[in-house]
Amino acid sequence: MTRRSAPTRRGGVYLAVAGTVTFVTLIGVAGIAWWARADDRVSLVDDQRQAAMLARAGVELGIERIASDENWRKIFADGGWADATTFNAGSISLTLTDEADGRLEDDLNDNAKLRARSKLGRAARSLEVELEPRPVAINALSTGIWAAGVLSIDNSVSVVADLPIYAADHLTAEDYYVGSDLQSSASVTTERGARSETVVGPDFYTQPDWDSFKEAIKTIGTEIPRSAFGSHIQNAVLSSASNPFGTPDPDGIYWISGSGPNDAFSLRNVRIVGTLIVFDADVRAEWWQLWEQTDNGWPVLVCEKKLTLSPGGIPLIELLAGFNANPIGTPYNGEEDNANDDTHPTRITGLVVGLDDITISGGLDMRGTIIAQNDVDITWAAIYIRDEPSTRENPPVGFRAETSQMRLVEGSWRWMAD
Amino acid sequence: MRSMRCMSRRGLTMMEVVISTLLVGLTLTGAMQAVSGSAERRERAGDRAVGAALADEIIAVAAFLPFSDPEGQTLDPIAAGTVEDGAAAWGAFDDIDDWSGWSASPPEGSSGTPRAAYRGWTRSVQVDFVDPASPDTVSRTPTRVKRLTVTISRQGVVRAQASMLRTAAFSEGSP
Repeated sequence: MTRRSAPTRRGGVYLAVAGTVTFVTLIGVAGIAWWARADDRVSLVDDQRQAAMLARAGVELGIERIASDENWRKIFADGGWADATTFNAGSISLTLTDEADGRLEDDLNDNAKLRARSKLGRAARSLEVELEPRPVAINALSTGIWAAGVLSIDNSVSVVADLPIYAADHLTAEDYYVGSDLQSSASVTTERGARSETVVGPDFYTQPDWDSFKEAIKTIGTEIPRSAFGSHIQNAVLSSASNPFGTPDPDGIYWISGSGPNDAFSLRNVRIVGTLIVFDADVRAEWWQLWEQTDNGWPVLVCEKKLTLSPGGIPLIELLAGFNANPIGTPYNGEEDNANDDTHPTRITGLVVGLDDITISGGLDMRGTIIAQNDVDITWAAIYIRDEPSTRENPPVGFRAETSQMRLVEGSWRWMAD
Repeated sequence: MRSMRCMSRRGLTMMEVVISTLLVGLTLTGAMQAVSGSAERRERAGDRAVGAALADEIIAVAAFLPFSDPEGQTLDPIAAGTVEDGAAAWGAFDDIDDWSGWSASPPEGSSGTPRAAYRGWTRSVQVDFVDPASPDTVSRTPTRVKRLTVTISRQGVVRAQASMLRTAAFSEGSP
């Protein structure tokens, strides 16, 4: 019995020790493996985080490349962007696609999709944005008055403008005082001289694309029925919050369709914060006017027929006029109220477009540009025209120059599956 | 005699004790090392996560800042340690180069209040002009691309880094 039990006891000790050692070793190895895996996961997450930053940096670089080379469409199409860029221990590659027709280089007006792919370690990310041609104003919007026909300044006129006054045809100034640069593509004639007189080439200014503009203005805004008023619109505020003739247009854009060649009406004491478009009627703006273009870029006033700008040049005293020009929702200089206790200047800020002749008389404080498709006649008037760069920031259709410059389409950032 | 032999068989021999002790000792040493290594790795991973979060906080804020000062200072050579606007807290920075040379230990909140929970940590930011074709290459002359690098360190050891680019075109072209 003792001989049989002795080997069993000895083997049992070894087995117990070996078993314990194996068990502890297994637990240790499993722990190490688990921590190694966890560490690996942390590294991968870190790589993915940095790869996302790289992709974002790639989009920035792509936009910079586009801005720095006006031939970017052709260069990319020819494989000029094929090499990956290294950054921060990773790599970035860029692609551009034209989803409209697949041909990036054929049209400056096509949008482009820019995709930045990044790789860092085992992580890869892909970020895409859409780019659209950046609206750049034609240089006609860098003038104070631009006439496609003749421009005449009568002898009782004082004109002070920090932007040139231009006529494609003859420009004549029987002036009292002209403190501005006069330009024409035909001839400039002055009685007393001006700040400068220049004959420029016919292509010096880019013509507006009248057809595109006329098509575009047919599709926007809310109608004010011609039957809603008689021979004048008086004491009215037109804005995205105010329309005395109906429901306010959310963009503050209104249009009136006149009844034909003999139709005409006046605007008297009118405040526009947005756009008023008048088809088929002559318009005369008189008394007090305070017009402000909004950042959607549409002109503050468009008149298809003859336009006369004849504001009185005196401020509006609400109490005397019995009219509140800054009601709730349409503040002026940040102030809005329900009372007739303010005084407002007469001023036009923005772009005024006449698709026929324009006559200017009276006291006009203009911050922007007057564009006429025909002639401009400045009669008895004291006119101040100042530059307003914001009118060129988002030029309307028809007033945009061809450009290779692009801008981001808002809300187009997308993380893509790679 | 018989009973003495039985008693000695019931106990362990010296050899058995030595081998067992050796095995257990080796196993325990290995286990201790594994536990210690794991703890170290866990701490390092934790530091990396904290560092990444601190770095990302700056990147997330800087991503909304323009290339140059909105009030007109453009493409100034970036001077280390200077803040163009004299803003005391990074929440008031209004362009990328306001971050140049900025450093805080412990890291501060956007209003400039030090965060006591991160004692021992340092957050520093460097802004450089870089070559647009090779953004890893610093340019001594102004370019249209700036690189902002956030470095997070703890007790002098770098725990995390994050970089972003800001281009002049991006600021000009954002809607």
